[in-house]
Amino acid sequence: MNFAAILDSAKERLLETLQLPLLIEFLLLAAAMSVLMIQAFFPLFSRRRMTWIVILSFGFLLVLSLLPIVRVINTESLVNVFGTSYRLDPWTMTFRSFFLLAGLGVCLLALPWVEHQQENAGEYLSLLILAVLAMVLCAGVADFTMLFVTLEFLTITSYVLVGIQRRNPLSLEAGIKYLIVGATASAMMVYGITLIFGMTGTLQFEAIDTFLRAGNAGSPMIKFGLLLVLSGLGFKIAAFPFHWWVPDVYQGAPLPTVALLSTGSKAAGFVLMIRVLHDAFQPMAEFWQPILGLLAAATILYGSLAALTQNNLKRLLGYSSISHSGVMMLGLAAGTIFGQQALIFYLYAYLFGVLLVICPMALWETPSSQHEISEYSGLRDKSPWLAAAMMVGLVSLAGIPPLIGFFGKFLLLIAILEQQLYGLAVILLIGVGASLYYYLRVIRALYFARGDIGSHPVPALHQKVILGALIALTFFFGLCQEPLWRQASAQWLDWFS
Amino acid sequence: MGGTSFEYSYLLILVLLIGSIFFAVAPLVIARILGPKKESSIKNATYECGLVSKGDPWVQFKVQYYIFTLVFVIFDLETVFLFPWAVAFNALGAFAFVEMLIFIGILAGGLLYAWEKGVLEWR
Repeated sequence: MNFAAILDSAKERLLETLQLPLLIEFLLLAAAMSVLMIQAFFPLFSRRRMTWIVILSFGFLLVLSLLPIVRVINTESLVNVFGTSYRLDPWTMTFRSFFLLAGLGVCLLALPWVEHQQENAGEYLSLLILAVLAMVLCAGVADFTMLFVTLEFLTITSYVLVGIQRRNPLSLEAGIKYLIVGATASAMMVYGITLIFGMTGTLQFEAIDTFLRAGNAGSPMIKFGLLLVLSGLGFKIAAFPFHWWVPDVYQGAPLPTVALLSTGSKAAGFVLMIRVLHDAFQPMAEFWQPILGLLAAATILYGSLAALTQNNLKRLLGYSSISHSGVMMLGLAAGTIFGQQALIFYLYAYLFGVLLVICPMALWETPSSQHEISEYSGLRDKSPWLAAAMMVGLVSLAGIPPLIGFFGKFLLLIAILEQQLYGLAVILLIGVGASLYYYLRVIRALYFARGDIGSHPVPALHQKVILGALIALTFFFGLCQEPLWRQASAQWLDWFS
Repeated sequence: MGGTSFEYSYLLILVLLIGSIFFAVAPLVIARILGPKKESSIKNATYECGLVSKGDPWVQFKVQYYIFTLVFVIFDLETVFLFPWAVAFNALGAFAFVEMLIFIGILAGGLLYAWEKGVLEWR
């Protein structure tokens, strides 16, 4: 055998390996285990270096998830893994890249936090990777068993990520609240799943769809079961009657966890909702569409109104996150594929906005920070970079053109107007109006208030570069939405072929 | 008549439930009515497996018990998954073998971590 042949066969092997359906998931698992082991056996290993390694691995996996190696899978076909519990279709891949991007962003955020966190940094990073792994698995869920397992995986890691600062009573309180709420939600969901299983005799989404199409869509038991499942998922995305944990948990949790909860965890809830509603309960659309519309309206109004009077930036983010959940639920209430694509675009917009707001907060944080808005008054004079990044993030979240947040809201507005849901459109506009008020109030503190700010860390060069890149992306995708829209609408697979 | 047999099977459970409640409550009630009541301090003492009870039951337990319980539960559950695999080992083949190796590997990793962190040492 000559050298070229060996090279060829090696290349083929490599391609084969890269085409393994769960390659990225296994790599994530290996990364989480190695971080945990390195931390336990080499306690002197620099935490900073480890965080950078994790950031680079997230970047590598993100690139891997975007590579067109999986060209064999066109938009029609799909790959089933673990029997029929997990399926690898374009939606899975779209969401997988989103979650890896969210993980990358949260890790970048965690960098300053990990440095001044005295203990548990390795565990934190490892759990962060595991949470991302759980989300990635959520993306391909194709039956209720897998749904429950992935959701529990995600929630249990999140409990620890919330309550990891064991010496801080606020963090502990947040962790316990989240645990109790999450356990209740899981219990409700399991009850719903049993009802659905009892009535349909199957846990597979596709089989449920077939069963419902055979003229069984009216059964009240199935409706009740679906409502319970949606309530369980509603806790995850913080929809209206299940939202009350959000402000307290956001206030107590460390900043990177807040970013993870409000972007990745929320997106995982939404992907599961899309999976359940679109893959299994599409024949019952007439039943769940009005309910979701109503809940979306209530969520938007509640989040916006409660955010108006907040003086703590973390609580403000919590309430505005509720309001954003409502806006995203509009994409589901529209009941169309376009609505779901708009939802994913909005998730990206929200991710960039949240990172831009929380990154400066993380860089500005000192051990005594309470994150009151007044602590940020006059930030412009102390650190124009942080103030600018925060302002761009807030403006994007408020939905002002030409930033990316505007197009997220715009697409969702189109999606509901297409379905003639004018009432929801009006409520969306009310929400946007309220968000302008409460976000601009923060910007006023940043730029026009004079505050007595103590000594704070000054952002280093690489942190300025990260902030600059985020600002640039927010502008770029706001002005040129095509690449992101292709990604969000799962069209990027045939983009390459 | 699929519905009736379905309901009938639940009726049996109801009958069993009522029967078991009766079986548990009846002796207590009968003893209460019929039994002579002669109280003494020895009779009213806390029952502790026939031994003379010692001290207050409201003592603080060492929090380390909880870690041991946790580790125990993990490995207890591991056997739950190992047994069906052992029974169907030949039928499942190499794929299941690799899967179980990964599963055990993850658990062993957890044990190694707990060990290194000094969780298994009694302090």
